[in-house]
Amino acid sequence: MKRSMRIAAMIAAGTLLGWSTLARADGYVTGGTQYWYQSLEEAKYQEFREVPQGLFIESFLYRNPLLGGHVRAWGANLLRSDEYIAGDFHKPRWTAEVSYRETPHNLSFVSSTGYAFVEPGIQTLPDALQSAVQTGPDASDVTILSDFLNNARPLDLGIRTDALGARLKGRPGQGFKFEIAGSRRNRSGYKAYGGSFGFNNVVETAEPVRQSMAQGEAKVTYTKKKLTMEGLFGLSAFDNHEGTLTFDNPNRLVDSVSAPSRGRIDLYPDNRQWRVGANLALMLPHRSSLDGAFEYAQTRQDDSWLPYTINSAVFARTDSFPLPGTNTNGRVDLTTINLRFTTHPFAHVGGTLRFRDHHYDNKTPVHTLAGQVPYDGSWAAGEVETHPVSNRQTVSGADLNWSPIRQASLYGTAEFTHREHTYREIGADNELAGEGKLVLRPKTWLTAMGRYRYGDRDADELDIEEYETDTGALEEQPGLRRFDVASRIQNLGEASLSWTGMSSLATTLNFRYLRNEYHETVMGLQDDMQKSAAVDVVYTPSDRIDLEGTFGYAWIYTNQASRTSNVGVPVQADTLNWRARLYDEIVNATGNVGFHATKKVDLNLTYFYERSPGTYRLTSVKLTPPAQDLPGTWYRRQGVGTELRYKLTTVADAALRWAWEEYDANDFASQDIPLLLVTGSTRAIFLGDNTQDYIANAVSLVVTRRF
Amino acid sequence: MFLAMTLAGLGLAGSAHAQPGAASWGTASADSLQAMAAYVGMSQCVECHDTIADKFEPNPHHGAQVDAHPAGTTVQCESCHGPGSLHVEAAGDEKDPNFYAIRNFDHMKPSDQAAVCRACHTNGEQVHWDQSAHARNDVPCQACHSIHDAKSEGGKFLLREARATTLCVTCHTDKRTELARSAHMPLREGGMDCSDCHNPHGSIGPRMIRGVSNNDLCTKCHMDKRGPFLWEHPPVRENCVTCHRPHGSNNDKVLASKRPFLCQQCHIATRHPSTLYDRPDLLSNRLVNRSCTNCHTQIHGSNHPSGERFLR
Repeated sequence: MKRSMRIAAMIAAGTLLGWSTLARADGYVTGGTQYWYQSLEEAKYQEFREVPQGLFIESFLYRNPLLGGHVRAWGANLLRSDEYIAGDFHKPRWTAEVSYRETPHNLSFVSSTGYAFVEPGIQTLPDALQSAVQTGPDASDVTILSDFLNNARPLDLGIRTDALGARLKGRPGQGFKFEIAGSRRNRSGYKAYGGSFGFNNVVETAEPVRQSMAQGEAKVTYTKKKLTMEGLFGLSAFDNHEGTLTFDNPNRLVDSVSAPSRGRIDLYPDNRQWRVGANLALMLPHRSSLDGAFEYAQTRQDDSWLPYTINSAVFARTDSFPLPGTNTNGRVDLTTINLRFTTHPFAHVGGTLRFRDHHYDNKTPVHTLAGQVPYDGSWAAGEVETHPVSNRQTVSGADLNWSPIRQASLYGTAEFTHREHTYREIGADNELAGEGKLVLRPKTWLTAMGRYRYGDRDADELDIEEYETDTGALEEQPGLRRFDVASRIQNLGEASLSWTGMSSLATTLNFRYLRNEYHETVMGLQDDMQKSAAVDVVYTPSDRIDLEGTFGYAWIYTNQASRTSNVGVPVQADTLNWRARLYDEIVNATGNVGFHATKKVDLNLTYFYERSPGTYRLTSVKLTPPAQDLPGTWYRRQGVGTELRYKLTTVADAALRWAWEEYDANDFASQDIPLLLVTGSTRAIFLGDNTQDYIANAVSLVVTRRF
Repeated sequence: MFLAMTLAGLGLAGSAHAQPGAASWGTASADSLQAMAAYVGMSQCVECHDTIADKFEPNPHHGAQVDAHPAGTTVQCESCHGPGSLHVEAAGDEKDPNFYAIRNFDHMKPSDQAAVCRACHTNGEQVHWDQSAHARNDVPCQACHSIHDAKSEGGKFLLREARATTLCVTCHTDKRTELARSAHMPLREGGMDCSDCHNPHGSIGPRMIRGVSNNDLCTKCHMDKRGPFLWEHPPVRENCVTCHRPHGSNNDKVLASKRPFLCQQCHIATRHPSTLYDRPDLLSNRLVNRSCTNCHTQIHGSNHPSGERFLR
């Protein structure tokens, strides 16, 4: 819906509703004006929001009795790219809801491209440029491309999502309830995307995003005494209105074998899904209950295949190798069964037995293709088979909780997980896990919790054939175990303490530790560790002052082993080993001071600080030259917000606000990347989506009017 | 202040209203007294609790009809607080044991609080409550919901805070820290809430997610990644969180590690996947910008006949 139409509809609806029964309505409107300034146009400041410049409506609420029920409408950030509007109408047995939300995801305001967009999915370069690079001497190519990119046009990167949803719920009686819901989500914009014409010719493209997603679901519930049964049916559909992305090759005007004039990427295919499900909850004697759920979903994908290549010089050859069909004929059956029995046979003892089976059953046929045309370059003959991967997870568990005294509770869990994976080097794995938790409440104002979990995942034998080519040659290091299916020992610990010993002071402490050890892994991720701690303090020294502070710290460590092998087969020599130890941290703190100065004046101060450094320790055994660490990275963001609020009348407030924000980033991967990157014979053209530091200030005056 | 309120809701805070002697909230005698009380109707409650009654009028509970309830088919004060005749008879005298013959949620066990709500809220969002992690860990409904003084936008879901995320991170503080990372989903900006992905009342998925699996959940919004594709990337099909950290990351696209190291945790093979991209190669297009996905752009799967290596 066009914005102007939305505004008109909103005004009309508001006016009609307001006039009809204004005397009984209540609610508020908050709006004002704002000026803001940002030192550099870094999109991070408005990554998921629009900071308004000038007049704005911040939020509103309208409530009114209507037709024997109640109507409510509320919203925020009206007429902006991050607006949200919702409304509902309640009758004693019926509820109708509608909502609309726009969410921007601004990625870059400083990017640029040399491509002209004939259509969003057809991006071209001037023939003269392609011709000059193709026919001119190689030595001049970089100069030609540089000169061309110096005049690249700005291209904002970012996507916008508009989501419209509606729901109708009713309780017609006799134990029946129903719910019908639907939503439509449109996504549009441009994202940085890869494109490549080979190892030495990389082109970053702008993926045109024009997608729509529709979902609908209907539920019916029947409740009689201790039995609740629920049935559901759902449909969803994904439509990609930009099915392909075609982009010119800056190095070539005329197609030839191994050097196409353009490339074509098949963007995400349309898909459809329907699902049915049933839930059952049965209350049993001794405070017991049985809970069962079954869900089956089927996903289909039958988007037409593109030819092997868009390269006309190669296409003639591939014509003699017809595709094995016209589409993937993709189908996945998703089946989930969940059963839980919960009981509290004694006042202080409870327990649960549970079983869950989830099967992603990919019934897409295996297709055998005669070859491939990598990079739209040349025909690489040789049959290749597709692998429609499936997986299955079955979890059986038992939980027990025991509270022998009011001041203490004990929890225990035993869990067995079995997983199966098709077309993977590990066909199945089993994990046995045990968990214990103790909660102590020695005083009403003191609570302490400790939790520990141990898990041992045992992977089946490696199927070495998955590491081999069709001819039986090894193409992967045999010592590699991919961490998502590797044998693993997991230790998890958590502790917390809550103290509210003084009426004016409350504090909580939390700590978490997680360690995964892939003990059979020689190559790949060998272990990782996470630690985090947090402190919250609330202090209210008087009726006029509220102080709140939070602090959080998290640390992630990964340790991976690899082996350089710059020939066609994996070399088995420890001297080529290298290791990456990566450290990833985050420190964040917030503070808030609320000061109720007088009956009419309130002052609020907030501060936040976030700093997330990354460290990359690289070591090698005997590599020449030896491995060197990568430069450390960090992202730091901090800000101050103040609000001085004055109560004008009993129904109106005015507030003066000032917000300051600083962003400071240092990341070799996303800063100072030129539009044309030349490394030896390798050339890469990028969009220039570089992260920039900034300082931003915003001053606003807002008024809230209640009615 | 919010923390203190939440702790009070969890029954952890000090009991500011605890009464001396036998007459007090939540005692066995109070419970047995209430069992003898009769329903008197909302008009009696309004006599003293007029400010609460005023707030209650736009509340979705107000006037809602239920199939069967001892207090009647129209929801009013006694539907939740129980029969109030003895409490009314006490006429506000806190020394009278009858004063406590009414349900006061601040002084009830979490499971008893939930049982009151569950008398009606048994389906839809709440159908799996009894099996949820919150129920097992004695988190009462009132830890998140405020029936009389909701602060959520439009009063939606009667939350104690303006947004569900603010509530969740009060206890899940490690997630609050994760959300502060540079790459994150739009939770702190208000574009979404924890409850968009998790159903705090329980679900049939792991970690109370609103899907039968992680992938089922993620592809509700990222439906483009749902496939199935002609060429599949196996870990993508199995679990999105193998590569992504949905609560936040220091790395672009909320990736679990920086590229190319993330990819190299599983791909060693020969030539460029096995190459060490260290300081001398800082300007390598395999290290900077989108790293491996500068070329392998269709990493979630490709439907192109020449897309075996996710290049097209």
